[in-house]
Amino acid sequence: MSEKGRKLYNGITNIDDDLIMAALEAKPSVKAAPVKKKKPAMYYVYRWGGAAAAVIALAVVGILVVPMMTKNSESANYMTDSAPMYSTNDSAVAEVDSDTCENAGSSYGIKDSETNGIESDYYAEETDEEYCSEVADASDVVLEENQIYLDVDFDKVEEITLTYPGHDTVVIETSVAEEIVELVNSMGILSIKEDYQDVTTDEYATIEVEMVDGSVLEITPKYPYIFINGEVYECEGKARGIYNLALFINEFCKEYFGE
Amino acid sequence: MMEDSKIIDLYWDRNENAIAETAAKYGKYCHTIAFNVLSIHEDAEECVNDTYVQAWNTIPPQRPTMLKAWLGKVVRNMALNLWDKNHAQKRYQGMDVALDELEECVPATQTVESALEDKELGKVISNWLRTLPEDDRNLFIRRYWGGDAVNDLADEWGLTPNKLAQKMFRLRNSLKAALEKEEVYL
Repeated sequence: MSEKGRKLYNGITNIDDDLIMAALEAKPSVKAAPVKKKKPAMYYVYRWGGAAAAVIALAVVGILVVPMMTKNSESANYMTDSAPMYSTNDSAVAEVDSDTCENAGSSYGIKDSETNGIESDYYAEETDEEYCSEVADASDVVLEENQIYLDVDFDKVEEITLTYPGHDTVVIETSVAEEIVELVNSMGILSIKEDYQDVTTDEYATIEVEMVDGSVLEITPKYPYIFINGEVYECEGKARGIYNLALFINEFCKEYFGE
Repeated sequence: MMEDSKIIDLYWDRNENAIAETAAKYGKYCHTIAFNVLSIHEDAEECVNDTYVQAWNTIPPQRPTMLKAWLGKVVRNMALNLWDKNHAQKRYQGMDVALDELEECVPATQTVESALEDKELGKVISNWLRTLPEDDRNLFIRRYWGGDAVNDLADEWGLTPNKLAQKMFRLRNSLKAALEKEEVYL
């Protein structure tokens, strides 16, 4: 406990007796039924997107490929002609993500083991608008300049990849990533303390994310450090990425907890 | 259960039953407050026992008007002191021994001045608490004075833990603003 914290604790210890007594004997005046919040769609895309894609692929194989394998001498020509129906990336993505472009964007988060979590084609060459225009109405999802995606495998966390238009991809590795993902996964993140819209890289500002268990995630855009539960981690000069992580977390919270 | 005024009378009469009556009526309550800080039953029990000793040593001359609140404050202070001590030992074991030795050379940290500061701060916080809606006030005290867990309070208040934590966050911001307004800088 810091000296400041201890002082405040001591001050709270010395609050008036009548207030203490009232609180100890009080019953809440209004008791509403707890509401279980629905998890955001993107969570399920992250969590189960890979498995769902695998099931769909197996179904396609079962329905189309197996019967074709049993056909006679015409089967080879048939397979060649039909292959694009189920094997191109474009058609597969369009089917999976036809509901909203937002879901399509979120699906970038599914980790690709061959590219170490980064879908290089998209990240390197395409803008979000271009990508979205392929799968749905792009007018619904036009990313703000600093909007980002959190790219992470929720089952086996080794790194977080932050990507946002006009900037390099930032990768945060090891335990820092694990802890941040734990925070995000726990759904306990509540709010951003400072008005992040006013934060620029030229001025000092700390963003605090308050957790349900009372711990605080502090994010300092100007400096390449991240503070988690009082411990300091250096992020190898990727402060800007950390700042954008804060933006992401805030958006994530808005979606999960509402405005 | 014996009335508080009669328990206090026992202390004033130097009757050792005072401690037994205190323990019977407020033992569990004191243990909860200490446990909320320390999370170890044995340590909490040590604080509770020290609280009884403190009560025996300070009543008289004191005559608490609200014994329950008074005991709560004492046990809370005991628990925080023990928490500090244990925490330091675990984290800085080697250095801590050296600092302990040096500490004997410096005056006690809880000077008359700092005790007054704590009381003044307590008054500012009390004034702020009185400006809050009753539910918010009670919630703040239960969380930060009594150390009740967020999940327990959420359950009692019929809120989700997230909503409750959000409420606490706003309350802390409000306290911060109040302290700044009163020019209290810690």
